[in-house]
Amino acid sequence: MLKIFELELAKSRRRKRFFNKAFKIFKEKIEPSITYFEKK
Amino acid sequence: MKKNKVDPLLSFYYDCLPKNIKTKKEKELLVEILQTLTEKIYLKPNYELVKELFFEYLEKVLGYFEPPLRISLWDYFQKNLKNEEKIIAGKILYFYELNYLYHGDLSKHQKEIEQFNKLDKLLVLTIILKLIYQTTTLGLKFVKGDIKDYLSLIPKITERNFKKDKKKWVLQFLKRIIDLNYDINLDFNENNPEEYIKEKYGKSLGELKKEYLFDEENNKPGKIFERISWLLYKKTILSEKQLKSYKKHKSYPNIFEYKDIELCNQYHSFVEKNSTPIYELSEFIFRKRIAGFTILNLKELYEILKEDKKEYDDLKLTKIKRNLFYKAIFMVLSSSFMRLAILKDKRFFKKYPPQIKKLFHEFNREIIIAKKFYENTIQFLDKNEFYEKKLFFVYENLKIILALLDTDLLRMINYFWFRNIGYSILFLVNKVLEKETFNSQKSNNLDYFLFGTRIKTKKGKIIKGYVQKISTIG
Repeated sequence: MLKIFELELAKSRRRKRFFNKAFKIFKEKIEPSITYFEKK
Repeated sequence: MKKNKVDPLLSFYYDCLPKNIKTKKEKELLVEILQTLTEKIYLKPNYELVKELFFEYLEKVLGYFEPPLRISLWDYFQKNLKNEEKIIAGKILYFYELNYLYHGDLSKHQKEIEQFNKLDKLLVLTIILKLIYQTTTLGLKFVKGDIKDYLSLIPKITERNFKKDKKKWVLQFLKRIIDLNYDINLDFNENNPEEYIKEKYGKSLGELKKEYLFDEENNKPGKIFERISWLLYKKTILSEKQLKSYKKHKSYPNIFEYKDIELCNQYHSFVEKNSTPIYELSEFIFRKRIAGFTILNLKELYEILKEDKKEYDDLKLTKIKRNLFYKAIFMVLSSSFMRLAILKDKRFFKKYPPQIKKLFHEFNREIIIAKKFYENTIQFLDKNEFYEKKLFFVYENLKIILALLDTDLLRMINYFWFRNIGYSILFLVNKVLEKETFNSQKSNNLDYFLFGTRIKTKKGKIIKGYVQKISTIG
């Protein structure tokens, strides 16, 4: 049970570590499109 | 990668990635984050988030409880919430009730939902996190009414003597575990008693029986049999005053209360006439002092404790021993009950000795980790981080807590919790019983352990020892 959790936890930690990098992409390329869709 | 072509949104994320990212793993990871941020957080309306993350969880946990608990649900959920949060939490629970009443059809409440969707997403996620945490504590309330019972019990746990009502409570609790079919049965296939005896005494059980109980092949009484015969015979011919020193003998606590003994002045005839009760008593002493008693399940323990001390139970337990049993049970139960209190009160732990803390940690690992996650997330929210990062981290931790305290897992934890309690109680109780048997580390002679006593020498000096050969009387 805990092993599954530890695996998930490791994945989550990796995601958090890469968050800033992903967020930069999100801000530059994805968010403008979201705003566009929302306005529409 | 083939799938990306099928899902346009997914290929859009891949297209957004900078060209300098080479490894497939890193690409996948970034896409995963982008997907979560976009689809699971940004594009998801607040109401959908609440439905997905909270309603399902709450519904499952509530499924464990009896309906009247729903009435006081709101009071319960208000704890740990700030004023502003209380209003939104109230709204969430209101939606939950509407969902319950209208079977998910909230078409008449669209305006309220639209208003709710305009609320700050981070605030909504934070409240969901807090509500899930509260729901978990609900999930640990496995049977209605228990909380009240054990909270009144905990402060008294260090008492030396257990009052009647506390004992009654323990018996009721054992009965509940048995009735719920959560009783444990110790399996001795893995822990063979024959091997254990051989290792402890260097002799097999059969050899020990021959030596101490009765050698049926040669029709020769064993050492305990001879001693019992002699003591019982003495009882029949000695006066009360002369008997006093024998009564103190701890090895044979109840021997003098034994009924159905036929009186006879001649020793050999006495033994012959009373061979059945002598054998029964000898066998009891043999089990109690050499082979050892083992209580295999809680039902057996319950039956023994239920009898109280007026009538002798199968193990002929003394009051002290009974209290040791209760003490063992209390120790296990108190460490288990703490799991709920620990979710609420940090000071709670300080009152207890390390052994109980250790037991508690073993029982409640998942809950302790979830608690840590919850506290870390709340702390993180106060940090000077940018909004989107907070949003993402809270969402991530919320998913972790949900995975850790999954309702099916929670149910399983409760199940294991019962089984652990049962096992730990039986382990400690059997340890109490095992202490009655010979311990090679404390004594190097089994005969001395069995028959050793204080002997007054002719000069009046008192020495510890035993008479190796029982003199033949009659």
